[in-house]
Amino acid sequence: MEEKEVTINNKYGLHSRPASALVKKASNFDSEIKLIYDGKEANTKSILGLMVLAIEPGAEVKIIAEGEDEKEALEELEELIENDFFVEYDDEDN
Amino acid sequence: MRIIKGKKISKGISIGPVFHYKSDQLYIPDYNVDESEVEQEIDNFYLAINNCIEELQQTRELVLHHLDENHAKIIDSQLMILDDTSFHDEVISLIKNKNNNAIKAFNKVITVYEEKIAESNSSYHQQRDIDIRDIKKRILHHLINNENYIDGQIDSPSILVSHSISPSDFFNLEPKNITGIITTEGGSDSHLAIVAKAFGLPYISGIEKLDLITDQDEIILDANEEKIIVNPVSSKKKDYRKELAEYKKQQNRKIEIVDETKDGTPFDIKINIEFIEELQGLDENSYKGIGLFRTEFLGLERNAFPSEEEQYQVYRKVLETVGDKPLVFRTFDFGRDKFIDMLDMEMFHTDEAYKDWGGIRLCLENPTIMKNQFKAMLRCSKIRSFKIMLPMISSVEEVRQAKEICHEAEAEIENEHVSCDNIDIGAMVETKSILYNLGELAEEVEFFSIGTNDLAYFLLGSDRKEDSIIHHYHPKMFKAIRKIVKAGQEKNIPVTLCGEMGADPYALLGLAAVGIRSVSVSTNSLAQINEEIKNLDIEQMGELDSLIFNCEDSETVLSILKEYYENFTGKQIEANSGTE
Repeated sequence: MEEKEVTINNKYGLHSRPASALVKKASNFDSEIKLIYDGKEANTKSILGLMVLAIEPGAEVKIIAEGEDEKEALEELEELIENDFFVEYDDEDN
Repeated sequence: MRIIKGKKISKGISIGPVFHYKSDQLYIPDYNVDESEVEQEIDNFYLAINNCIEELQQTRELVLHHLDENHAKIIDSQLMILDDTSFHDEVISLIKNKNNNAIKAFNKVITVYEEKIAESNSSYHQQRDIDIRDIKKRILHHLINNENYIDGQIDSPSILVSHSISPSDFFNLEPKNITGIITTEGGSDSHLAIVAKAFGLPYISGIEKLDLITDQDEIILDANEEKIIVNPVSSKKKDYRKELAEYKKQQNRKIEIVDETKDGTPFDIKINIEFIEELQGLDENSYKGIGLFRTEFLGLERNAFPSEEEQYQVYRKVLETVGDKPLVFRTFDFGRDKFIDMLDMEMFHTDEAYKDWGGIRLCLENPTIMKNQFKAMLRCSKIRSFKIMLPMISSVEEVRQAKEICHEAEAEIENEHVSCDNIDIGAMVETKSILYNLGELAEEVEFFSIGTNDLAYFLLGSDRKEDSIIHHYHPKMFKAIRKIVKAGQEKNIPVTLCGEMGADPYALLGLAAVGIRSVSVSTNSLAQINEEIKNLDIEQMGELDSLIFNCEDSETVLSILKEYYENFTGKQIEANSGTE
C-alpha cells in the first residue's frame, strides 16, 4: 500500500472536469485507489464518489493506492494533480 | 362557495374531484419484484444507461461541431457518471438484494448522491448539482418510458391541479381520467395548451393560490367563464350538470368536412398535427387528411434526437391511426429556441456560449440526424404512401442536398427495398430568398406548402411572439402567395397553405381570391374553417385580389376583407377568432 498527501490547487476545486480527468487517469491502473478528504473516503474511479466530496480549492487530500501498480499509479496521479489536472479555463465558467 | 378567477386556455366545463400533482415529482413506482424478475430489472437498468450514453455521445458531437472541444468536455463528466461502475454496482445491489424495481433502486442511489452534494453547500460546486440533475432526468426518462413501468396515477376521473404540467407529465398520468386542467403557469401557446385543446379539456391557467382548491372538494371548472367554483352549493352544481350535458351533446355533433365551396369550386381542408396524442383524441371521420405532421415533438423534453427505431415506431403508429387518408410528414424543423428546448439540459441555460446555437440548417449540417429520420420514414413507406415536406427551404440546393441524404439513407437500408423516388418530396415555401427561385424549386419538388407564420416574419419582420396576426393582412403577403400559387400552377404541382393565416376567416377570403384552393389548419380551427368554406362564393368575389394588391398596409386590407365578409355572410366576427 502506498499513500501520499497532495494539495488540490485548481481554481474551482475538484469540480466535474478535473474529477473526470482524475477518474480517467485512475482507471488506467489495476490498483484500488482511494482519496480521503475531510475524513471522508471516495473511490477515485467513481466520478460520483469524487463529486460528492465537494473538494474546495486549496484542500489537502490523501491518496491511497493498493495493488500491483500502486507506485506508478500514485506517481501519475500526483503529476496530474500538481498540473491542476491540465484543465484550462477560458473564462469564468466552471 | 368560493370563486377563483383565472385565464382561459382551452374552453369547456368540468365538474368533479381534484387531483393535485407536483410537477417536479417524477413517478417512482414503489413495488418490489419477484426473484425471477431480478435479471430483467438489471437488464432494464443497463439498457437505460446504454441509451443515455448513445444520446449523450450524439449531443457531444453536436456541441463539438457547433462550439469547441472545451464545451464538449463538459458533457464528458456526464458521460463519465453514466460509466461509473461503483454507482452501477450500488443500483444492481439494491435490485438483487432488496428486489427493488430498477427505477426505485436507481432513484434511491442517485438521491443519496444528490443529498450529499446539497449538504456540502459549496458555491463552487453548483455545476455538479446540475450534472447530476441532468443525468437523473435522462436516466429516469429512459427507465420510465420502458413500457414495463408505465402506470397511470390518476385512477378515477379528476381535474388535474398543478403549478405547471408538461405534456409528458400529462401522458404519464393517464389522460383518460383527466377531465380538466388548472395550473399556475402556462400560456395559450404552451405545449400543454395544444394537448388540452386536442383532447377537448377545459383548462384555466394563472391561478396563484392552488391551495385554495382543496383535495376533498368537488369543484366546478368553467373555462368558458374563466372561473373555478370551490365548494359549490348544490343548486349551482345542478345548473352546471345541465349545462355540461348540453355542451357534450353539441360537442358530439359530427362535422362533415366539405370538399368544395358554395359555388362548387373544389377546396381542400386538412389538419396540422403537432403531437401524436392529438390524433388519438380525434374521431377518424372528422378530418380528411393531414397537411402537416410536425415531427419536432419527438425530440421535445427528450434531451436528445430520437433514434431511428423510436421514430419508426411513432411514424408507423401515425400511419395506422390515419388509415388511408393523405398525410404529409415534415422533417425536423428546429429553430434555435426549439433546439435548445429539446436538448433541455440545464447546462445549456447557464452557459452563454449556447445562445446562438442551433438554427434551421441544423439537419443539413448534421446529416446523421436527417439520415436517421429518412431511414425511419423510408421504412414506413412500405406500409402505405405519404409525402415528406422539407421546412425552411431557402435555396434549391438545399432540396438537392436533402434528397442526396435521402438516397444515402436508402442505400444504408437496402435490405428493406424502399426508395426515395417513390415518395413525393415537397418544400415549405416560407423564406424570402426562395420567392425568387420558385420556378427552379418547382422543378425539384412534387408540391409546395406555404408556411405563413414564417413567411410573415421574413417578409415583414414580424416577431412571432408579438401580436403578429395583423401582418397576415399585409398586401405583400397576398402578393407573395399569389406568386407561389402561380409558380405551382405553371409546373402543375399542388400548393397548400398551412399557417395560422388559413385559419383566419377574413384572411381566408383574400387567400381564396389569390388562388389558394387548399389549406391545412389546426384541429381547433377545423370546424369553423369548414363552415367558412361551405359558405364561400368565389365567383362572387370579383376583383378582390386587385383591391388587396392596391392597398398600402395591413389595416386597409383588413377593412376591405371585413366589408366583403359581412356582405357575404351578413355576419360579424371578432378579428383573430380563427386562431382561437
